[in-house]
Parts: sequence; C-alpha cells; structure tokens
Amino acid sequence: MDKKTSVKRRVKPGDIGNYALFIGPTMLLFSLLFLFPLVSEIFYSFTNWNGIDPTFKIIGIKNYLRAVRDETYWVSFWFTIKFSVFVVVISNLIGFFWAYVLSGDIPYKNFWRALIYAPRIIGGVVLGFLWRFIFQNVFVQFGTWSGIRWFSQQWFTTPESSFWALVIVMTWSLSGYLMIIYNSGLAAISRDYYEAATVDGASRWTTLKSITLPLLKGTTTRCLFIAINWAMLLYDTNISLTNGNPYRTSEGVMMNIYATAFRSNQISYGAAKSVLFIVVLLIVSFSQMKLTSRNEVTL
Amino acid sequence: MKRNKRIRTSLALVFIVFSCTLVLIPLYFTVLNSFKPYPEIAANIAALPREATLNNIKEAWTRLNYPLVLLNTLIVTVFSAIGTVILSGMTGYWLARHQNRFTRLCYVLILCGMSVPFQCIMITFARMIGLLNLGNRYLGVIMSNWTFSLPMSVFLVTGAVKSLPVEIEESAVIDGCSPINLYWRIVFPLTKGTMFTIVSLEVLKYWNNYLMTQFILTKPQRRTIQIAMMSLFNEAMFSWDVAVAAVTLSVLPLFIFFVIAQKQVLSSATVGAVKG
Repeated sequence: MDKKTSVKRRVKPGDIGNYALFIGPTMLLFSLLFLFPLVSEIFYSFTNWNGIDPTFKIIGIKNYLRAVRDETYWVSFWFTIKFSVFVVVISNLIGFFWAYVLSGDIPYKNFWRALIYAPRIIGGVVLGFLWRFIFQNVFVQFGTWSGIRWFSQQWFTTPESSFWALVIVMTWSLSGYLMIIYNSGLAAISRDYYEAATVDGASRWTTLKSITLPLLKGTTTRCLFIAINWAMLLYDTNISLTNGNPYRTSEGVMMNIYATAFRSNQISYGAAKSVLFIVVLLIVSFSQMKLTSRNEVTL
Repeated sequence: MKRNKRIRTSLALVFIVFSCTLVLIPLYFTVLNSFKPYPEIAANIAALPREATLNNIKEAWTRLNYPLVLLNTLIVTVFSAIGTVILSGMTGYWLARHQNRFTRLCYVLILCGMSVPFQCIMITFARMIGLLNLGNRYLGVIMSNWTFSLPMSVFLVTGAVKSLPVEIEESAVIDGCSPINLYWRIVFPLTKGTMFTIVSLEVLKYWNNYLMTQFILTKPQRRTIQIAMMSLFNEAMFSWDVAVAAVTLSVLPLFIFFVIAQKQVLSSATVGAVKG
C-alpha cells in the first residue's frame, strides 16, 4: 500500500455523512442492480421457479444435474469454445501483424490506425445486420462473378457457413482493437534494445524472435484474454447474424441461456446454466491473473 | 542499404493500404447500396448507382422513426455518461483516499463486477427491473449503464487519484475545505484526463447496447437505435434496399463521433485494455 495515504482502521462516526454522500449512491445502485441479481440468481438456481408462479420449492442441485445432461447446452458450449479458439487465434495474429508493420517507419501511421480501428465502433445487433447484407448479397454476387463457390454458397443454411460467418465478423470487429493494444505494447519497448541488436548485426527475424516477442508477453496475454472474453460473451451478433440457424446449430452459450430462461420460461434452470457459465468465466479470469503476474518480465 | 529500406517501406505501405481496403470494403458496399433501388442492387452490387435515389433512406427513416430513435439513444447515452463520471469519480476518490476495512470491502465488491459480466446475471436483472418499476423508463437504462460501468471506471479513477500528491488535499483540509468542495474544486480537475478516457470508452458501449436495453425499453416510443433495428429486421415487409439504408443511418452518428473524437477513442482503447 501507498505510504502516503494513512490507513485507518475504522470509519469515524463524524464521517458517516460524507461516506453516505461519496459512496452511498454508488453502493446502493451496485447492490440493487448487480449484487442482488447475482445472489438471487445463485439462489434461484437451486429452486424450481418458472418466473410466473408465486410459489416455488427448493430442489437442490437438480437443475445443475439437468444442465450437465442437457445436450443443447453442451452443443452451444462447444460451439462457443470452438468459435472462441478460432477468433482468438486469427484476430490476434492479424492484430499483431498490423501493429508490427505499422511500428516501422511508414507515413501517416495514425491515419492508417484510425481506418483499421474503425469497424470496432459498430456494435450490437447492427454489426450482425450489416454483415448479413454482405454475406447474402455481396459475397454471393462476388462468388458468381469470380466462380469461387465458397462465396456464393447459401449462407446460414449450413452449420459450417454460419460458424465461419460468425468467426469472420468477430475477427473483423476485434482485430483493429487488438492492433491498437499491440501498438502501445510495441511502443513501450525501449529503442536501446533494437540499437544494440543492430550493432550486433542481428537480422530482423532474430530481433523479432528474441527481443520483440519476449518483451511483448504481457501485452500478448492481455490481448488473448480480451479476445477470449469478447468471444465467449457473444450474443448480439449471434442473434442478428445467424439467430442460431440452421436448427440451433450456430447457437452460443449466451443464446442458449436466454432461450431457456425467457423463451421457455424456465428461470431457475436458466439461472443454473448461467451460474455454471460464471464458474467457467471465473476460471478464465483467474488464469489470466496468474499468467499476467508471471509474464510481466523485463530484460 | 538505403534502397533496401525504401523497398521495405513501400512494401509495408502497400500491405497496409490493402488491409485498410479489405477492412473498409463492407462499409463501402453498405453505404453505396443505400442509394440504389433494389433491381440495381440485385443486378450489380459493386456498380455505382446509375440513378442515385434517396428513396431507401427516406423509407428507412420513417420505418425506424429515426429522429425519435436517435433522440432516445442520445438521451440514454448522454445521461449515462454524465452519471458515470459523477458516481465513479466521487466513489473512486473516496475509496482511494479513505482506506479502511469498509472501503476495502466496497472496492473488492465493485471489482468483482469485472469478472461477472452483465450477460451472466441478465435473468435476475430483468426481474429486478420489474420489481423496481423501471420498465420503459429512460432512467432504467441509464441507471443500469451506471451500474455496469462502475467496476471499470472506479478502477481507473482510483488509480488516477492514487498517483496525485496527497499534500494539496491536506493543505486544503487545513484551510477548512469540506470534502465535497475538495473533490470538485481540486481533485476532479486533476483527474479530467481519466474522465475523458472513461467517457470515450463507455459512450460507444451505451450507444451499441442491445441486450440490456431490450429488457427495459420495449415501447415503440422508447426505442433506441439498436432496438429499432431489431424490430425493422424482424418485420414481415423486409427488403434489402431499405434494410441496408437503415444500417447506414444507424452507423452514421457513430462515424461522426469517431471522426471528431478519434484521438481520444484510440488512446482510451489502450487504457481500457486493462479490463481484459
């Protein structure tokens, strides 16, 4: 802790008014709209409440057992994982490569960066709708014109086409963002290392392999987890682009939970699915903390 | 040596220009086809409009109820941003400067929000909105936006306040300055940079928020752009010429914002990356 700020043990009675003024509204809001929903979700996951009836029973871990045996849940989970892996790898490779090329001396760097970042500002369902136009019209016409079958296929009618469509859209949206973060990571590496390497006659490839990449480990970990988080929580683009078509094969976990809770009115069952997903996310952020603290290296 | 370098630079430049084209081409097609009647879109999607028409835009404008929808989105975004600055600023300041068991607990609880995203608690959140009678009220979305912006913004403010020298505040306290004056007169101006970062980071999220908003604002008069787009695409009378014009209309305000605040948005993207 900072030495300058004196650490007091208790709240002084005369200060209570100020506490209420400075953190009271925030904590009230946060409890009502975040903590309370979180706690009650965990509670409901152990009941059989359907969201409508005034009464419910506590049924223990039955909802969890049902979720574990629910095939659609695992199919959507597997879809999310597969989707995340592809998005994370591809968008990070592209983002890093752009940042690396843009770190050389190129005129109008900031202009190019802004252009590449631009897709990031589009979000929500609009992102999916924009791309639905591109896939179903532009891609198809391009495919017939150029003779490349892959482009002119019937988009969103086969599981593969829906999957790749989602991967393409998410990569399009994320790569520019990751580029910006890689950029700042690259800029933070001291010029001295590169100068020393040039004096020693190291090739560009060696410099990249033994100076840039090791020193960029912290940034890389961060970028990987940003991409993982975005990909795992996919919802808006999912409903607007594929809407699960065909036959719920392109449905991510979030869509599955939403459908369980609100389409078929099984609030408690949906809550159990959510809690399971929170556990997965906590494991992810815990491993992120572990990896980040280990990877903040300096030469 | 020098010639070699020039070749490399021009190669890199070619690559970057190619990448930018690839990245921006979907946007180009979207905007271009908004001005073409459907037969022309179907005939050749890449061709320039033979007779540029504003009919698609007009139709999308009325079907989305664009002015109203834009106003709703603007109201939500602006008030969400103002509230986030006030709440996270005061809270972050207090948590950084008055450390004891209670404030630590508050800080840890708020940071928990970083690992449990909105999507995970949406089921009971939707119920809470009903219980608090916030349905179809701007305030419902605005308050929810405040709540889910808190973890990130409190974290940033606390960091910024801790890096300020505490002596200024101490001398102000000796001069008899009350905490609320102290914060707004002295600390807030010094953390303005962080506030700009928070705003440009969160504004795009507010604007693009769909999942949370659809739980709260369901009445047609209260629709935001995202909700209006969803219902337009769900309508039976669906045609691509109007739809693509609607997409153009809905991304246009964002691009105006991006062009104006481009530097701020790009630099805040890096700061925001701590959240992961």
